[in-house]
Amino acid sequence: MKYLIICIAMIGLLTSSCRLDSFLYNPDELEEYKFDAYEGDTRFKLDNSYSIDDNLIDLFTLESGGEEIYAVYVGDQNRIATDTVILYCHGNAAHMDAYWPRTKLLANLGHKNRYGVMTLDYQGYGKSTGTPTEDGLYEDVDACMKWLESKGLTSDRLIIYGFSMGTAPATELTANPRTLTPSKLVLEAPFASGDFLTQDIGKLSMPASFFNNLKIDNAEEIKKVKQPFLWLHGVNDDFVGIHHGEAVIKNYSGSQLTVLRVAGAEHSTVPPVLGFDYYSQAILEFVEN
Amino acid sequence: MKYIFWGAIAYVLLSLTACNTTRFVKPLAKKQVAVGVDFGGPLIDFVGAKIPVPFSSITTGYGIDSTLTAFAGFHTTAIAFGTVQLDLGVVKELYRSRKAYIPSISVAPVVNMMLDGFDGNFRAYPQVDVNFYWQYWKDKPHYFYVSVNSWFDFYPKVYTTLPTNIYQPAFALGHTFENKKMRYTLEAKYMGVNENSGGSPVVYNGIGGKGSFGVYLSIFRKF
Repeated sequence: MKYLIICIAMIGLLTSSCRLDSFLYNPDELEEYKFDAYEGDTRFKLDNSYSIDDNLIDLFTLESGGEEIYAVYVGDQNRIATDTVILYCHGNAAHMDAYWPRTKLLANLGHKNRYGVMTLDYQGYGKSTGTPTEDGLYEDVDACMKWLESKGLTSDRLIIYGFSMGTAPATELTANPRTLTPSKLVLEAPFASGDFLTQDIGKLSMPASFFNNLKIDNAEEIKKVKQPFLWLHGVNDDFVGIHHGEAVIKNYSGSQLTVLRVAGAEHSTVPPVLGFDYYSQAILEFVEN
Repeated sequence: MKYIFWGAIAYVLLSLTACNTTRFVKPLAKKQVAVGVDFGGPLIDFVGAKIPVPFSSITTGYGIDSTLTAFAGFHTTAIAFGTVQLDLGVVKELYRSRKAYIPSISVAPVVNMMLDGFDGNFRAYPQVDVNFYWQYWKDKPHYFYVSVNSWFDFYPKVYTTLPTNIYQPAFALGHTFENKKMRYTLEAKYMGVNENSGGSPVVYNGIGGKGSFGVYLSIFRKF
């Protein structure tokens, strides 16, 4: 009996110690943000025509879930109370510097410095303190919405854009708004859900709960989204296959669905494969119409 | 972003069919007990090399009679992720050959059960192995074998964009060295033969983008 109790205790210890939630996140810590001077992997570079004046880049901190997170606002903050703002939620890797070209693309839609863009580093990413968690993603993005609201932004002028892992907070906070309700949703390379990912890789009908406690389910949450929705996905995405995105759009029943399946594009290369001009025009049309 | 997605690799630890050697190809002697360990898994690309996913499990068997052995396998890798995975089965010798070039035949119905300790989700996958083994050396118990392993998945998958294959076959080729006390088996397997192996972060090594090869080793002590 004694050995049985020890055995059960050891199993209990093991089962509580090795879940896979943390493997979703791949943050890099930073000592300072470099933006254009960042020399790490950004997947693509932009020429000088996309440059942003230093006086239009504001790096600051917000409080989220008891942690200090870093955020950037690109644009004239005096226009937040009257103009459209794009809130960009980046993917699971690295930090804001790695997504800086993407931020600049969005800031220059249509013409130079046309739109205000806000982006952030989730808890544990870049210089943000804490450890990434699913709840933390939602809290962090909502903290940005609170800041934007304090600057005068209203829901009807907020557009939220999620890339890869960032599609989780983008979808969640559009489907279940906390502070502001985004008026439009853009998802680039979304994954469907933890169950979908598990069954896609494992080939059997196993639930994700066999491995992790993540509850992310974009394909389910999208059912609540009635706002206009733009989906972009690389046809050759070998990380989050396009069938993930197909599962998401299949469940969307809102007012306007725009689909861009990008032939030849992989997970992180939709903008360059599409062409920066074409990509910008597609986003612009969605934002303005 | 890509290759740090270790979770995806870890998913494979438990998810592919046939994640151990064929438990018992040849039944034990009557009232004989065997206890052993299994290592190995499907071959995946990892940091430039092809490695077997390191499954591990513990198996025990008992010879009910000379042609029927009951066995149970406990998956030690699975438990580390919070999932209790157990397979229970019997192997029945249908035909015993007296000639080296004619195979003996056995069949093993198995049920693979999994229960997670967090949400309480449960799965049970039936499996049937049909084994052909050649005891090629007179007076020596060594044998090589081929097995057809059939997994059945009757549960629906989430969302209809994922293919649902109820029948998932695997084919194994192995060799077992035996002496009075020990049994050593090396097995190669081709599994998930009707599953596309592309389009996910895990790169399997199969044929024409289908399935994956696997490599396994088991060591048993007989009592």
